[in-house]
Amino acid sequence: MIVNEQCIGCGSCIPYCGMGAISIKDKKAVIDLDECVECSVCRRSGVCPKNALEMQELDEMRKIRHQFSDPKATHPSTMIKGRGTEEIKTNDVTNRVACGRLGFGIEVGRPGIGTRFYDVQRITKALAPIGLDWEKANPLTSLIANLETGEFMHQVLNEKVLSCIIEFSVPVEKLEPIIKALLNVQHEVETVFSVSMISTYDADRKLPGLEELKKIGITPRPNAKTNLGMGKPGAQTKLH
Amino acid sequence: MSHTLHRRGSKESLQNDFPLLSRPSIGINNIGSGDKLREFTKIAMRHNPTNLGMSKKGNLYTTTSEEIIEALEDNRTVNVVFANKEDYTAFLKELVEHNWDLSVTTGALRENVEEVCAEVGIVPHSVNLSIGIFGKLELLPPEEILAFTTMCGHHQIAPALVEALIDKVKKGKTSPHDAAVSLARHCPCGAFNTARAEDMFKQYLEKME
Repeated sequence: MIVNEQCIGCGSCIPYCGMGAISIKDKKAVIDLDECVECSVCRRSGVCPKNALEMQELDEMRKIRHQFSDPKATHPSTMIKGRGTEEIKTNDVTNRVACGRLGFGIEVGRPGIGTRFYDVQRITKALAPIGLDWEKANPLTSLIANLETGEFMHQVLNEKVLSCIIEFSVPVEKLEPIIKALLNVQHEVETVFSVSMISTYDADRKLPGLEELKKIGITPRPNAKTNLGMGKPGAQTKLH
Repeated sequence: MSHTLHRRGSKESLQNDFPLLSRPSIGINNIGSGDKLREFTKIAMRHNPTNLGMSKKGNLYTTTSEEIIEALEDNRTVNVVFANKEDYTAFLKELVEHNWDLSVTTGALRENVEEVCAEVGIVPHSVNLSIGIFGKLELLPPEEILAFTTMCGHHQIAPALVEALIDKVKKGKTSPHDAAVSLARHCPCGAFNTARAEDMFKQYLEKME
């Protein structure tokens, strides 16, 4: 995002930027492109009285910022907008996280802080030795150069995005090492991450992993995202 | 992404928060799904949603439901939010009556979801649990600000904007309703619960009384 010559330096756009990338210098708004994640919030808000906020031509690295930060952008690797993954939204028809397994979504930079990929890499490197089934239909996975070690493509490491989701599934037995790794690595990152865990109901209408989670001292929030199982006739019978 | 997961605020303040979305799965049932998503939207509009939208077109505060319906096509996600259990229940009941066959997820309190599903005859398939925020927590704004900003899971609402609007509401420069609508406009998917935001703005006025 850039500011054109029409800017009158009124500063109206400043509170709209969640990354704090806009400031006033010499009576004009200036955008710190190193901090800007190309989310387009400032431009889309329509707050600028002079239409001085413009999307510049994006090179490949800035396109990555845009795709992970603007929900109107589509990820080319999955053809999905937002953070680019179906995760639980269609689990009833995809069987992405089958009963007896746990799906993890570690959204780095959320809520609203943003992240560099080098911080994401710190987390993937902490988790990879546990042995994960990485979700292939997730745009972040395509940026990981080595799935055995969790190392990213070198050229993206310093790029900043609003958030991105590390997504994988594991058997229930790996819950504890994953939580331990996350509790340790949280002290090494310069941002925050929100963690979610998908579990599919078993035949007794229990959620595998939930009791194990509580035993290691983690109580989920009372609000969750529930797949209602309405996607395809017969899907539940097949899964249960 | 899990954009209606991780909504913050007390359990009490989430009692009237019922977001849902429907979408197809690419390669399984995306072909022809545009018609179903349009039907989903039409059904939702019969039950007083506080918001509804899709990222490509916008939400009820930036466009009309007719334009959203017209813009829906295969491989889209449509979001709707109800602000009370009665409307949410009636909507799900109508989906069941339509023998709905596209994935639907809902981001409400689990106990409310379980109660309503039992009432209308839905057997939930799986749950995405929010198990916490980790890392440099000192970077986060206060919880009362997060209660607003996390209603847009793509975080298109900046904490500084919420703070500015709280200030305006307190000074009588804008109403709780208008403040809530101005935030809702920044959440293109329509996942933002405008009614809940209005209630939260009103609470600032009540505290001043």
